[in-house]
Amino acid sequence: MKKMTKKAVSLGLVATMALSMTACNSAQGNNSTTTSAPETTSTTETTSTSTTETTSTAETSTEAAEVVKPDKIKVMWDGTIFKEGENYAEDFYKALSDKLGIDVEFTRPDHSGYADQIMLAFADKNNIPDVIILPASYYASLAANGALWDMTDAWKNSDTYNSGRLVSIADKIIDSWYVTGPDGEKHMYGMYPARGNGTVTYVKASWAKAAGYETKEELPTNWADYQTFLLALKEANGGKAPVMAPGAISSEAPYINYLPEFYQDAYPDFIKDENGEWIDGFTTDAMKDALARLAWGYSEGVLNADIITKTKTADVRNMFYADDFGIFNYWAGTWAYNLKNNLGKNGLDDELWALPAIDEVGGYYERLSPMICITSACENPEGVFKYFIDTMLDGGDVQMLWMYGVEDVHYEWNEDGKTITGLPTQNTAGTDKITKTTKNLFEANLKLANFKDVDPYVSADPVIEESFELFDSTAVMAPEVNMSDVYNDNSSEIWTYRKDVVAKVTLGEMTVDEAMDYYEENVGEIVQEVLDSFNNK
Amino acid sequence: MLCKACNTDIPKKAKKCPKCGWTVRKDPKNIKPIAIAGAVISFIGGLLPFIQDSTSRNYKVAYSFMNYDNKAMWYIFMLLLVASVILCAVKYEKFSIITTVLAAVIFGITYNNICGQYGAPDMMVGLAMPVIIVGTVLGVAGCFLDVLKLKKKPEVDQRYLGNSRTVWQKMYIHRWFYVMALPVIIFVILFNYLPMAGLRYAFMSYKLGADPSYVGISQFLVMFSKKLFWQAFTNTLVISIVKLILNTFMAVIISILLNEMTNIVFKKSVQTIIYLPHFMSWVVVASIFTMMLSRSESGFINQLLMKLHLTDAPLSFLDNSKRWRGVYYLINIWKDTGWGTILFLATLSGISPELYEAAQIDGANRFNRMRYITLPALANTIITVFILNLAKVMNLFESVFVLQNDAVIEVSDVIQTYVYRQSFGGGIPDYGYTTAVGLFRSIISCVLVLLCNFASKKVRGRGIV
Repeated sequence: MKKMTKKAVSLGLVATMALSMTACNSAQGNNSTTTSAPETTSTTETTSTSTTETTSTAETSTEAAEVVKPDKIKVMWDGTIFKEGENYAEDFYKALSDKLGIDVEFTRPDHSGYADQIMLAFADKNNIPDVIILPASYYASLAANGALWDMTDAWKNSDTYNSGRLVSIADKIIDSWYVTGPDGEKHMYGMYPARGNGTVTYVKASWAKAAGYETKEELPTNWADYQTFLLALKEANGGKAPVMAPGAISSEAPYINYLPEFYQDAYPDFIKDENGEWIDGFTTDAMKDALARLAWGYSEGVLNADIITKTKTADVRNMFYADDFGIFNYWAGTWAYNLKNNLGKNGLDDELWALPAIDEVGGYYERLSPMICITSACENPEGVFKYFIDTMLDGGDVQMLWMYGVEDVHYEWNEDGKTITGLPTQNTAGTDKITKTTKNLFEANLKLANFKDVDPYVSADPVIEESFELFDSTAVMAPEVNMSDVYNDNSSEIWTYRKDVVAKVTLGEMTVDEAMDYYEENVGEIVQEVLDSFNNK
Repeated sequence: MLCKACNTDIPKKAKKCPKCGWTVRKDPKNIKPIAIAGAVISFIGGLLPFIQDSTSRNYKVAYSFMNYDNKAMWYIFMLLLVASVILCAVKYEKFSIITTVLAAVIFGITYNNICGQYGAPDMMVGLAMPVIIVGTVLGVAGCFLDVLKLKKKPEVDQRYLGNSRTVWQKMYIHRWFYVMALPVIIFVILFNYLPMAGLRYAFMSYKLGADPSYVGISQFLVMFSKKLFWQAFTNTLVISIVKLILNTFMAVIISILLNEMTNIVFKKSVQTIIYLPHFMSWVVVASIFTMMLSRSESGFINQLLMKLHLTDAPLSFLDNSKRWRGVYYLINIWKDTGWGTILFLATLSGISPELYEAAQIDGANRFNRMRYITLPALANTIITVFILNLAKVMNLFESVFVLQNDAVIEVSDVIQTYVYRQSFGGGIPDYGYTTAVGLFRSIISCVLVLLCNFASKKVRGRGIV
């Protein structure tokens, strides 16, 4: 009996083990795009309008081809669309799937760790999504590495591109989407239905008024006045440093956007000079001057003392809401309203003045937008492009979904039948809060194509319009991000030293000259190799 | 010493066992590790390049089993060497010699084919050749010596040998126990050993969107040429070891102080309070200390120092490369000392009160009682804790990651944060490179464990593994 029990237990354990292993193996490889044969559409509109002379273009575009509509698409997206539990994201997913007639499966990693998740997503070959939204720096890297599908031809033959509804600045924006592919030629590997937007400098009116600047017209217009302004603000507000940013240098292109007045014409990455030759912007005189300005700001106490240790934008925003500082460079448009709204909630004066770019800055950088890309792993990229990406700017229902969300959930039509009003958002506890929905993926001001009929947009607050108009009036495109194998292999090392140098000079641990020698000594050779690879030497 | 035959205690200098008459003779040294080491060396040789380009800077153009068309050769080579180790361990030395030699033959055939396929004037013999030759010689010689019994085992009267069954017979007798152990064995193989196959990527370039390609030892050469890697390696050792010494020292001190407390309620309250920080996430701890040590108005420490007129201006702590490590050690002591006292308090509670009473009668004061009774009683535990923790010194990540910033990278970057930055710090990561760094870290950890084991044997008379 005892023996039999042992045998039974042993066999039971082995059986359990075997079953659990079977469960482990249940995944079916890359089950992303599935297509159904019957739902094919003849794309007769894909006529050969393309002039791009590339092999892939020739292969895919010139003749009318049958594009199969996918049944299911796997999409990986960051926090830039409605979040689950916070603003009825499930309703958006369902409405989008219904409208497209495709089962769109969203994967939404945490926004702050999204870049890490991209790398992990591509590491598992069986689970690479069909569509992925990529930050600008990753876009160039992944494109150069062959991980993205070349959509140059598909875009040129798309409904959106040929609709005649693209906004006037669209060509300039679309040009920035072209990056170097694995063949060394420039192609388009992603698109975004809106402009990249940028940041503007917001000044708390209460802080400025306390320093004797009664109206926004009195705000400084050049660096010398700006220095005086900062010192006056510090003096008038109990010695508090007036400027704070998430780090003295940002981790993502365009790197300097949170402190434009200090960086001015400096750009810390590889840039093209006037001859079209690639140079290291970090070693230019402009950058040396920028470092000196940062050191001045920190030593004079006009830059917050925690600028090196507090690098999360959320932390810095909270400091702004708590009135710990008075000048904050942040996104134009809807964020102006959010900042104002949160100041009001904390019982503070919510008047914000958007500071026009000072003379030395010229204009605020318009960043390269995050890019919506189709991965090389996608089995039916033409279908995904036509039925998913090309519909984002259809000028009708789908565009409404991406811009404003779902009718009667995120917005409702006003009585005039031409304009809409945002509905209250939902917080994680499931109860409604005061904030009203202003946008989904992109703002009305930033859209790349107009609606077919009337644009139903109504701004929630004039501050949104004001900040955006100020940004738009002088916006300049951020320098392109270039990539080569050499840079890719060494970018982490180069950026470690760049950030180290910026931090040390800002804190006064090194002079500018010492810092540049230190940089040259540690990565000078590598930087030269990168430049050689960029300049084809 | 004990008699090998009947376990009777043999007096010192006695030549024979007084009970069974066994002749006292030292055990011959175990020479199996030589053969096993030989097989392992050959195994490593299978990962190294057979031939490589002598002109490229980092020897990236290299060929090995991994880019040979017939992958089965590599698998057979590895399986034969694993078989060699197992056969040697279960005393089938002759078969072990055969499998080792067969593995060498497989290598020879593959080497010949690779030379034919990829051989060129610029190619030179790779590291695999000398390594596999050394491995094979050691593997064969080790087994051969064992077979020949050059150092004969002590002869024991068969009457005193209780069990002369073979391994297979013993396994058959206990077969149901083996069946019961099977799930665990399979789990361990699946989740502990199979993932080790990923170590092959240390010899490959493995970037997103591209298939891995064999690059020989170039990832290691690149790693050793990087200043940031050596900086991280040095920081890891320095930070970990200083932290270990400080934490152990503080835990001992706190334990002794707690042990001296007579008010039980107070003692338990203190214990609970000092245990609590251990359960806090490092992210939370970092947020709290970043706020407390801030130079701005929210910085409680700086405000206090200024109120006490100890400083005129706020001091920088976490963004100062000279102070960062000191602050890091203090935070670690605050967080983990309480938890570290548990083992020491357990040991202290086992010390007989009679010893203290006797010492008191003999006129020993409190300090002397601590010096001559408490500390010697704790010594063994201190060494054990120290040695066990020394083996983990390379596993430093979370606590450093959440407290470091751009200004202190030079003194705070450790191997794991370096790997993290290489993977997620911009650009497309080369998992081959980060695997190579990880492999190097594992090797150092392994060496430290073996050193600890050796130290433990010397100090305590027995190993820890």
